[in-house]
Amino acid sequence: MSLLEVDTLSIEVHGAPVLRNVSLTINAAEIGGVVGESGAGKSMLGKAILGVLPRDARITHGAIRLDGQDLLSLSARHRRKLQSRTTAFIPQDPLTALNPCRTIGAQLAEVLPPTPRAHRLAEVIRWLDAVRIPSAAKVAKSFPHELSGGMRQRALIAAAFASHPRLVIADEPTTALDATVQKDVLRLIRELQQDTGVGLMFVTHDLCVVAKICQSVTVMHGGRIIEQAPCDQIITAPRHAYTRALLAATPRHDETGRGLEPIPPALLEQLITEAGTGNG
Amino acid sequence: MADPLLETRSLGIRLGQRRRFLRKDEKGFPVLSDISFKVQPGEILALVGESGSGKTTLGRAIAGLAKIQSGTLLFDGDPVVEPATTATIKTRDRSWYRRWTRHRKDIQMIFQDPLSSLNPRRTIGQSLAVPLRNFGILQNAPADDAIDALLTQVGLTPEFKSLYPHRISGGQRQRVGIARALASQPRLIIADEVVSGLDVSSQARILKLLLDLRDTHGLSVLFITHDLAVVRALADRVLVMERGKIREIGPVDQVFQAPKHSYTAKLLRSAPSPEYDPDWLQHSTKGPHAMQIENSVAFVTGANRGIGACFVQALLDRGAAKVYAAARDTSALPKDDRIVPVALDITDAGAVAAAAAQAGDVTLLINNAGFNSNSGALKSPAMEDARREMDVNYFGTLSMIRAFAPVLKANGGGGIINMLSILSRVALPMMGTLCASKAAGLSLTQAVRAELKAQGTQVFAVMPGAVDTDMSKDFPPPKLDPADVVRAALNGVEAGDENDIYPGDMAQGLRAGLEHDPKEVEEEMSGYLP
Repeated sequence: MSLLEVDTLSIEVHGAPVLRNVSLTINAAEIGGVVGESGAGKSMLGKAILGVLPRDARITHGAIRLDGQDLLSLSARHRRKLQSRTTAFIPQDPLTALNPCRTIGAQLAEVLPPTPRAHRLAEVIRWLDAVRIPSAAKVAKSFPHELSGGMRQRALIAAAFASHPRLVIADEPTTALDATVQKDVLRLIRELQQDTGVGLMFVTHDLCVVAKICQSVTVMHGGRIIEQAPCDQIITAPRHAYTRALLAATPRHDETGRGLEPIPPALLEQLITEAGTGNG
Repeated sequence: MADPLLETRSLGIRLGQRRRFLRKDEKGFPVLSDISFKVQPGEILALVGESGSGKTTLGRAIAGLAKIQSGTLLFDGDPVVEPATTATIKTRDRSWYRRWTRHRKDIQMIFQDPLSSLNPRRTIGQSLAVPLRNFGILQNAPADDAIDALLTQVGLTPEFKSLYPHRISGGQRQRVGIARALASQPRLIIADEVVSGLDVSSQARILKLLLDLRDTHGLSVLFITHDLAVVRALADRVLVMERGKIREIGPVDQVFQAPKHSYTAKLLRSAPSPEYDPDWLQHSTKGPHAMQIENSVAFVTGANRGIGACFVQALLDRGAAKVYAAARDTSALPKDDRIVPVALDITDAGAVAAAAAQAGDVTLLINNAGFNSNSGALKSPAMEDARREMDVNYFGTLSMIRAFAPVLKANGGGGIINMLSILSRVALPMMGTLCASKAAGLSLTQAVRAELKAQGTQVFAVMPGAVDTDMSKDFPPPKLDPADVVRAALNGVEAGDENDIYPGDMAQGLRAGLEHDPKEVEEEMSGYLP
């Protein structure tokens, strides 16, 4: 049994479909990538799994199972209680995700599993150490604006893993970071994920990052799944024309003349027609 | 070659300058210094660097949005900024700004976030009409036609002109930003991170658009980005910036294939390419001499207290197989079956040679032992103290390196960390003798690094500011936690970029200051007279 099973999930916002028949599984100790352009529905999928869909979004079909438990059949209260212990989220923008009025330590202590008050600070410092924040004791007492972007993202990663989740959803966790910091943060995410054996859903538009960190990849467009395969296959032998076009549009630092081919409009039209005829 | 469209000669910008009543003026701190480059007509020059490197400030300065305080800036041969105009530090004086007026039409800027740079209360058509009117492009022709032409030029349709910015997608908004910059028919466009945050398809469309504009209109572009892949796709030449200085400039292919500066190489190692490689995260930021602490055998001098004791603990935590902990007095060493106590006075050459013979399996030598007399150069009994400082800090380190270099070679290269201080590079009054011995250590480090390169040994110095140990107990705070210094040093060993390490804000700040203006740092330090 997989850790996370999304089964033919469809979501509408004001009657317009934003996810259509999306199925995906993520196993424990696996990093599954979800790739697509803006508007592909990848963030919506993450929100649906976390149970934080916008008010006007409606699930019209499908199921989300975590460890076999159908999340959609639970009452809101039960679901919150279950997911607060089992799922965690790493957001894109660490500055807006942290409360500017509270210290890093206080915000990290919030997500710890029940810990006696006396041990909380030690536990917070242990987590800040685990994400390689220097002077953890000092940082625990600092406010978010006192840290650099990379440090804030590390603190959020600590917060995600400190609740001992089974599943972590990371939504573009390194898009706002510099290349060298990005690499350190990605390495950190993977190390923590391997040490704790959680399943990680990695939502991004960057195929370069996917190629380095994911084991399986789901390519989405217009709320539909275009292709699902192990990572090496998606990168080296993509079957769908859209995946190939995405790869062709990705520039590379080690080759001249790449990244100047937008997705052909004819292909996009074809995808829209396919979606309209319910084919997928 | 044609005359350059833009030329800068040793531009410099400082922030935080203030003139203060009855007190010394604040000189601020340097953000950019010694920036010299040229942009040819029809050339796309990429400006890359990490956040804080000063690339956006440079772009804004060239657009006339930030005041340049020193150097020369020529646009099309016209000296917009000259040394004569930059002499004052009156920041409220806006006259410098007027010199840009005559080039305002020719230099336009595209900003990173079009949602915040486009007026939300104007339709796109209204926004585009502003530059058309201001620069007299229309000459009484109806604005509508010109706006339609601009929108078509950037691949949008005329219908967009009646829409508000929030109604359209990010890629489309960015194209409106480009259309607005093109409205005044400029010759140089400064594009600041215009494709970050866009997905690859919109990014490709915008890159293609910029290339087309260059080909059809002979437009020059200064393209500011942190994304090396985009640079390769778009630019002719690339300028790499780090901490406000130019590190490297040259044709993109040449710089990317054979980077000359270690910072460029590091950036390139950190940039992912779309190739399946699950091991990439593990290996590629590492330099040529990276070594693992895990299973290494280390030899630490001065191991009984302070930073040395921290080194021993951190090495054990990181899985070192064995740690030789050397000190004159080994009684305070912790008991652990991986710790081998070595009673050693590093000023005794015979004892050092014996230690090297005993520890034939060492792969990492940490020269940490040091002596600080805490007395001034002209104070008695300074001669004995000064000799002792030189004996421990310089001669001790030298004899350790001499004795252990063959051991490291026999064990496949390994590494040497010389624990110095930022005082190796700056001198404090009343501590001149200590500084001299630390500076000697740094010179030694540099020479040994070159000499031992052939045998694959990485050698670097660690130069923190004041660290919270017994040795610097008379220092005022803020002081660094010794554990942080040790962490930075060991991370350096594992990263292997062959760079000296400056842990902490104090050391980083002084290092940056020395790069921009060494004389100013000296004056600053001379103010620490008690």
